[in-house]
Amino acid sequence: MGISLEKGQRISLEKVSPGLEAVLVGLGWDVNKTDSGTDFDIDTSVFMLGSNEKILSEKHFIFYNNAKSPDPDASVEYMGDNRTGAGEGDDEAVLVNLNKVPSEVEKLVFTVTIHEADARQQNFGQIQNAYVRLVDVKTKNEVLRYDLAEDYSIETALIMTELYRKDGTWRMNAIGSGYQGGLQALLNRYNT
Amino acid sequence: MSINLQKGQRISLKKEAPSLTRLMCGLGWDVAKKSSWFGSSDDFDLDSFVICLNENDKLTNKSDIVYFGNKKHSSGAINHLGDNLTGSGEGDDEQITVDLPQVPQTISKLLFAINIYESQKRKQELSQVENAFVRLVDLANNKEIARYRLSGSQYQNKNGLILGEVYRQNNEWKMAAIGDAFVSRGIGDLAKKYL
Repeated sequence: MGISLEKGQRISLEKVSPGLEAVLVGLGWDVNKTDSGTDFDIDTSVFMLGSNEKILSEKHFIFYNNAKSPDPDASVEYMGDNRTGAGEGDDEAVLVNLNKVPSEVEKLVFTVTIHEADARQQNFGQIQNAYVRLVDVKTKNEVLRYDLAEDYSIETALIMTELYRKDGTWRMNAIGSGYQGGLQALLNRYNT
Repeated sequence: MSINLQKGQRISLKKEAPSLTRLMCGLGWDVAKKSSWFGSSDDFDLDSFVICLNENDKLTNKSDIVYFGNKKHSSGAINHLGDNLTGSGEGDDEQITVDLPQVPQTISKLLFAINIYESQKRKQELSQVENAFVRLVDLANNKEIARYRLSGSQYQNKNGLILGEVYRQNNEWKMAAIGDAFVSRGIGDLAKKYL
């Protein structure tokens, strides 16, 4: 059992799990058990930011169509549907090799957005039990978990969590902020 | 001004109606004109009902379903005011009152739903339902707090619909616009999802 974070809480990965090298970031959510009329298509994306809070390049926006970060080790990799077995139950997963992330990357922002939310009249008010968790790839143990307990409403984009560098180690920040405007709103925010 | 909710939207009742204690939930709908000469000419009988769930979204007692066959919740907090058999007439088709302070602590969520009575026998479904709405009224001043309008047209082959929910969170009541449909032969089929 890992540690559960609350919204706004920040914690050092080194403290929670000394020697942690690679983590699987698993993201999950539940759609209602009744029929909402249209299927949900929820996408996970990762923004790899420099010290100016902007993505370093277009290639540093990781999503299903650009699944690997441009560094030689592909330190951040979008796995899509999680099939590794390490993070059972997650809807989507991203593999992060913490030690290999290039030093100019200061922050990784993990987001989920609803595809065609406006056309389908969908929002996170119709989604429940969203969470993000970090699983140690080596031991397959859950290290950290953040359940987004807040009630979301008409938001169509969610910043779930951030992994960021501080004093030479990685930390996690449980963000849980919702935005209207979907993925575009996030792209506007993080694009150079 | 009453708030027009969109699907999925949530509001805090404490914020919108700070002194609210007794509320009335009005549900309404119209039935689309029959499209075929050969279509069934049975009356369209929609029943509204409330399912009371505990904090884990579970239905723990049959008496926590308030409907035409159990019009008053055992706590006295929830009262179903009656059955409209045809859906005709302006305004609310059915009304349910809730005395919020009286709702037992074990109940965390009230689902407000409608179901087509004998839909299978009468071959009726939600796509024939138009202009459905759920609205909350503060009974202290008869002011409408919020309203959620929806159409059944996107719900093919479904015969029940959860319109909205009123739920507790951190000791305050909130309302959510749901608009989710389900297949049912009766109210019990929705209730089963929460056992």
